[in-house]
Amino acid sequence: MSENWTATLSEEGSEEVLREQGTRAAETPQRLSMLERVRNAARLLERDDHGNQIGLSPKRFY
Amino acid sequence: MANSPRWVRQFYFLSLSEESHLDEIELFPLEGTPPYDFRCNRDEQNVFLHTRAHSDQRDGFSVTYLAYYKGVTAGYMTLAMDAVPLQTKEKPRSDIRIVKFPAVKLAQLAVDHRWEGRGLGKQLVALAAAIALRLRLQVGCRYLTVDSKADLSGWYESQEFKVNKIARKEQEQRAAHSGVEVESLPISMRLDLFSLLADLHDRYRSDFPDQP
Repeated sequence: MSENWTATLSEEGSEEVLREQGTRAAETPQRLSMLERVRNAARLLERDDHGNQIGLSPKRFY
Repeated sequence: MANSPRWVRQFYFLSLSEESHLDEIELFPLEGTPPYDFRCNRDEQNVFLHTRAHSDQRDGFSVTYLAYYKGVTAGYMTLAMDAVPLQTKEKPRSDIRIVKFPAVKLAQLAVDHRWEGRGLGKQLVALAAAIALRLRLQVGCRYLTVDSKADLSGWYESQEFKVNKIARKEQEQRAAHSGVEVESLPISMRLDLFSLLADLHDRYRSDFPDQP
């Protein structure tokens, strides 16, 4: 967790969000696996970007 | 493995249950007639793909993506825009007056019965999250949502989704009035993309330089 994100939530966030934040900070294997999958997915979207910002080419996605 | 017969290499790949094989999967937006070879163990998803996916996409209601492995349809997902109502305690900040928050809905997610248990569903959720994360830069998008079957809510929770309490309460009230068993109704859930992005930023800063 970055400190800025934590500070924002501490000042303005709800208790539930702070609890959720605590879960994220634990970095469970499940969470880490998901982060890796999303990172890989984002890279694949980038790969087929060809200048298209959204990354949804008409036919082939990646 | 490079000199192994083709079927051995293929078995080797298939026996690896999950996580690192997204490169092997190709994802295409649906075009024309849906593939006849797809069959999952949930009739609703089979019916949607074969009868509604194309017309819904044509009419701008959703977009369906087909996941292929070596030319065979292994699964699909359908995405649409959504707006999710949240309780004050569920909101990103308690001072926000917005009632419904922008989201991308994972409207359908299905894996062919021959592919169950190999992690494809998780990969498709990750792809949906990655698409939603990109859309947030163009239109604003905070959550990835799903209406989960009751028996799948645990699986979605394992993918970091949380139950939307307002939506669930409304469902329970409607069910009580109409005599429907609430357990039979889908469960509205959400994945906070900014929570995800904060962790992605911390862990993979070169890929996710922008901090939420």
